[in-house]
Amino acid sequence: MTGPLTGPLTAPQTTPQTAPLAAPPTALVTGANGLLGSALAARLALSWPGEVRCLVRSSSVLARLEPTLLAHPDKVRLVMGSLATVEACAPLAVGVDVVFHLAAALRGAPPDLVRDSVVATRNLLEAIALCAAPPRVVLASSLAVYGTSRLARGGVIDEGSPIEACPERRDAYCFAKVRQERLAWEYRRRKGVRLCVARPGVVYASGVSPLVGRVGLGVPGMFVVLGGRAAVPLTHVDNCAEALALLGARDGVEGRAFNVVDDELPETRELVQQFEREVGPLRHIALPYWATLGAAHLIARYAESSHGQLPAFLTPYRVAATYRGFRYDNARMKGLGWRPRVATKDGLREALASLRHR
Amino acid sequence: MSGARSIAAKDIGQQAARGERRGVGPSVARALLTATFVGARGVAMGGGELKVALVGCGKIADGHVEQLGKLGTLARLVGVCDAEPLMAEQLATRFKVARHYHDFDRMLEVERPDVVHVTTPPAAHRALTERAFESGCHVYVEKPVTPSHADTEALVLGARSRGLRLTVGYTYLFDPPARAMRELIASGVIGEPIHIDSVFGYDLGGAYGLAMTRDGDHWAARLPGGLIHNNADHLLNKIAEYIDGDEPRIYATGARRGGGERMPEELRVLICGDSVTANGIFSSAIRPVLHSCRVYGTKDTITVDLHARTVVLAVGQRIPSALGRLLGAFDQAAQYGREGVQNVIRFSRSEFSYFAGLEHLMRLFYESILKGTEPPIADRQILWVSRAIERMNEALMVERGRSPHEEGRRA
Repeated sequence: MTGPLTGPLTAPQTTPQTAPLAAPPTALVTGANGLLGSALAARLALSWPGEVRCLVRSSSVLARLEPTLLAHPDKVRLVMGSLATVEACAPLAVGVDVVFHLAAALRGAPPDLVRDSVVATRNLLEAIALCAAPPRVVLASSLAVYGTSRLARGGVIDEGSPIEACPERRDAYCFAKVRQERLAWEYRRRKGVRLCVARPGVVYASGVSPLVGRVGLGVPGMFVVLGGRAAVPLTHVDNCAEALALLGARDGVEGRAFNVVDDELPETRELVQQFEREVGPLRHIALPYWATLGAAHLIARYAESSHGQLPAFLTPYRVAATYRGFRYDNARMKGLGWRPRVATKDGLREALASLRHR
Repeated sequence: MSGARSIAAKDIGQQAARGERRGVGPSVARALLTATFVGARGVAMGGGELKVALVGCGKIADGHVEQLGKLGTLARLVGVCDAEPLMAEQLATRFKVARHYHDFDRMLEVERPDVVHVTTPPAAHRALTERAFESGCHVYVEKPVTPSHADTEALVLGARSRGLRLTVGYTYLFDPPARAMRELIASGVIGEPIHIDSVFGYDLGGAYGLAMTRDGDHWAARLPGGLIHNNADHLLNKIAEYIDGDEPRIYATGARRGGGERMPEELRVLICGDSVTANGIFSSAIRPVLHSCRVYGTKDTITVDLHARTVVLAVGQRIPSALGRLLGAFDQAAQYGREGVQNVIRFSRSEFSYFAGLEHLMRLFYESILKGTEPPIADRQILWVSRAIERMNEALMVERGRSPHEEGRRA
């Protein structure tokens, strides 16, 4: 594990570098009290040349963001606000050079995810498009947007891979993120929004279990490991925050998308083994890919014949798109000079160790 | 035939008379007496497929659309609408609905539906429902019907005056155990009801609760009675049928765990009719999250667990002495065992979904439209619940030192 990420960032393209009296650029981070948002705020507090505004809901408990706010009272400013309407977003975008748009729902019912991720993004982009000097927008999208159900086992997912064409056949998160990103690109095309898209993998950190849906499913008293040898596209929260900060500062990134995923990714079964070593015994059963696919066929068939009495929480389409085992390319992000400074083995050891004490 | 159906079949005059006796209000009762169903525009009263449209594409709309898909040739969804186009689009995309709209009038004009489901936040219910009535549509409106009793009354009368049907999303009342309870009570098993205990638990960490707690400006928080108001229908609609008397007295007390200025998350309510009383408990703190009803009668007492879907009768001591006390537990176990077997059978028939009550209510509602019979929920029941909620809110506001007028302005 390396030390804190404190390297300097250059000013974003929006700031005229030659103007001697130009004010330093101002950044706005939406979703600043989230796992990734608070890490980004901490990163920007150390390296961003100008003010960092942190947007949170009025109902937020500022547990994650508070240390940064207290440590950098002159540089980091808390902004209570909402993305619920264009009118609410309008003042947020004024005087801002770069918007890091991280606010999104990670879980919940599909309509809630759409409202919190898609409608909120539309409101923000609409407000930005109306600005006299529109800021750059760095959108935190997701690796989940890729259409991987037809990709061969071991296939490489890079930024040129197709976007999921049938997100409604995946899950609510994928559905919302695909619509969010499609909407953002529409705003770039139609209204010239200066968009740059980051597509992070599974963000993990201390205190957060990396045993997420891409690894398996929790059932009462048991964790079912799915997919066997599939690589888990992890990115440590600090690595991801650094990537986002870089996208906010670098020239030549607008109109492009960037995968944000670390190196030396563990396979599903390796991750579970490491979990057991670092945290303790985990009652689990591991299903290889073919068995996962077979189970998905049965679940989907029962859900259909019973008219949804039990939901089709696993379908062949989802299994093919998620657990078949792919490789993830981060060369484009590395081309900007980004390197995952927190090595996966170190980051995981720390993250899992923190879970041991819970 | 379910208890729900037996209510639906009751004569309108009797209903109106009962409405007056139970304090619906003389003017409403008179209006109910003079109104008759004249049949809806465009609906073949002998049967056929109803065209259904839905307005309000939030979470509960998912449930409506899912259940609509199970009704076969009874009804088909022709369009969905939301003031936010992205919300209408997401529902239409996920459920493959042919057309979606962000203009309600436009949807009514193009689709000419027979039935409109109003699943928006309650503040919009009255305007949308009246607009649907003007277009000759029957309306299924989600609970609470409207934020105020006066608005609810206006909708009930509006439906009657046009010969249209209005029903409200009292879905739990149509879940299999609630229907069984009402059938048993109607059959006289428990004798005359004396007292009802109604418990409704609410999980603030659940899908619906999270949406509210995450957003301090959620529409439910802006209802006169806040979170409780949004769920009070489920608490009170099981009581409404059995409380008698012109003016039931309502005593309510609320609490917010951890204090604070916002409306309470805990409610205890006592309702006193002439000869029947009821307790209501709404709680977001009690674990496990409960949803139950117990009706005490002159002959027996019935207990319904709407989560476990069981209906059991209390066990009186039939044999004296310790031997009688010994048999009680076995009697209860035998009843629960039978309920368990019944549930397995229902599960095997795919009749055990979360929204079983919603499906049943929709089916009864559509059938009432097609056959020209009474809707599944009596007007007086809708009005009784609506007025009880308003009185309960008033009691809570007085308790918190706010006048209802002041609270209304705040809302």
